[in-house]
Amino acid sequence: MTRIATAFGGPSPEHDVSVSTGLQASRVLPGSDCLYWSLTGDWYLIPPGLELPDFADGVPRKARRLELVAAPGGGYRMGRKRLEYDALVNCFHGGPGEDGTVQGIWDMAGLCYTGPGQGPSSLGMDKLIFAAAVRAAGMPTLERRLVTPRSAPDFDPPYIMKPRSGGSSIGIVIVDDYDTALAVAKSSPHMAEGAVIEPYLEGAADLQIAVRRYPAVEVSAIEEPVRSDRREILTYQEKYLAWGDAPAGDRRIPADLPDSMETTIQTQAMAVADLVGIRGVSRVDFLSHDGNLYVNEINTLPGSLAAYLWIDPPRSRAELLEDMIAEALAHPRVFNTVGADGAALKGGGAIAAKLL
Amino acid sequence: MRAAPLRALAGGALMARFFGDRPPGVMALHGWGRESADFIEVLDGMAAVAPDLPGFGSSPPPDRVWGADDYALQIIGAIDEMRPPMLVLGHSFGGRVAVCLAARRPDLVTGLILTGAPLLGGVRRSRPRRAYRLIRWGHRRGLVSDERMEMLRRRHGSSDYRTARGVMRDVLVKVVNESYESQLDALSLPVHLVWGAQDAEVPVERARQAYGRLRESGCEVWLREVDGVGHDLPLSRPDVLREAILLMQEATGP
Repeated sequence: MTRIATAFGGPSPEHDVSVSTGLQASRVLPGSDCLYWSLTGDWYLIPPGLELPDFADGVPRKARRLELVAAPGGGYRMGRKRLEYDALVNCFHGGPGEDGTVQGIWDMAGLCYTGPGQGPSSLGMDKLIFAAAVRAAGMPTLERRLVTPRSAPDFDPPYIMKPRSGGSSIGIVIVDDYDTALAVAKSSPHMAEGAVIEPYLEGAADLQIAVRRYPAVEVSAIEEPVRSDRREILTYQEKYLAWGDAPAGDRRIPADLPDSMETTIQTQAMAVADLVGIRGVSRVDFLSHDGNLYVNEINTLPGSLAAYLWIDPPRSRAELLEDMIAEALAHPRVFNTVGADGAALKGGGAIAAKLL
Repeated sequence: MRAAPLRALAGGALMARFFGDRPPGVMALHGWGRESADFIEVLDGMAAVAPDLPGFGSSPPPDRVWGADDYALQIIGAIDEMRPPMLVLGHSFGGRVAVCLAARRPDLVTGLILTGAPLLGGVRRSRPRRAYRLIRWGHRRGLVSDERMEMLRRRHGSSDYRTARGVMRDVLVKVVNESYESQLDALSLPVHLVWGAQDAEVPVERARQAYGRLRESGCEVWLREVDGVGHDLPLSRPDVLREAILLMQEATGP
């Protein structure tokens, strides 16, 4: 039997949503352990069957402290005992659980895990580099610029301003001019790692599609979230804070789109998945405005693992998770040492001679 | 729904969301832990402004421990950019700031709409448990570590206190201990109190007390108790606040 642990929580603004995704996944994978990464960055093994309110005041009761050892034969330890897992199910959202930080440490500890590895994770989280890569691959994106006092954008306000790194709507604002963008970049805790701006498109529609590449390349139905009257951008609340299968807020799945647009979205979602090098299920978000379509962003660890999007073709949450685990086991990261055969060492001279 | 973009005021110390094309006739001040986006539905289509109060939304926190009056002073400092006088709507903590603002500078304010705003003292908060007080004492004397104290604070403090960080935690302690009798007594402008009848945080009885006090000081004052609603009117009943704004605009002229 495959030994599985779901990992969730994390020192990130999306900690709470991650707890929800993690608890959902653990219920679908009976017998799996739950690894909780706290807001302060400590690891715990927590008892099975906990509910969301058990986390409301921080680390739940009866949680047992773990250490994560980033070395061969390391992994999770409780005192001297090593917890043996074949694969970890990554249920983190935002921050170091999604941006590649924890993936790199798991690689160093020799652990297999679902979702993309360190490099693709970083690429998916960096909105500036991601947009540049998509554009370089010949796909349409909005103009997206770094907010910096050393240059001004070459398009007109108002701007939509986003944290450069981040996987959700948290911190996104619309600003009236570039001076405000510079001021928000300085003051908002969400923009501490940099901010990007792009043109604000009045009345643009968000279109979302899930994609995976294992066991074969496949895309889900397309979703069109219907913006509530209350907000001009899809809020975090609307996107994620639902306790059920799908995010809160009205949505249309499948979206009612012309065939040609549907095909374009499907093709480009697969191209983006290859470009980033995803594993597991990613969600690719598009913007449609005045008949134009733009690749907006990729979420490599989407809320609820985007399970609600797989209605056509229908894929159960269990099936998606089992495939993700099989993919993780099939592609462990092995550090390549080919060529480091010692030849350059044997014939090498004294170090002191190299310093001359 | 039109976009209401943010604009930096006071050299970036105060971010404010502007609604409509004309100079704002209404200013809305949000509650503790909230932000100007709370008023998007209330102010849609109006000429209005809603700042993110310092420490919330996109505005940076103050550099020292402010009370509601310091917040009012900061708005007064930036108000030329908003073109007063204006009708001021305050929700909860924003209501405290609104009252301080109107008391300090009645020339800038045509009228007040207050909802869920704690204005009068006499709130009796339950005293923390004895064991907790003992640990707090130990922490002050270095017998209890910062880490452990923080853990206990998070377990025992109010949810606002637990989520507040840095200077904002001290700001919270300061404002919840404030009371605004003298400011209320100084007012002589129209005031509309719009209260959720089921407001558990600032019960409607306290609105009735404020109503009496404002009448005594000679204000034209209305109290509307809205059934089936709690503390968060801006999000749960934006229509009621829109109505209140239109009513006040009629009462106070163009």
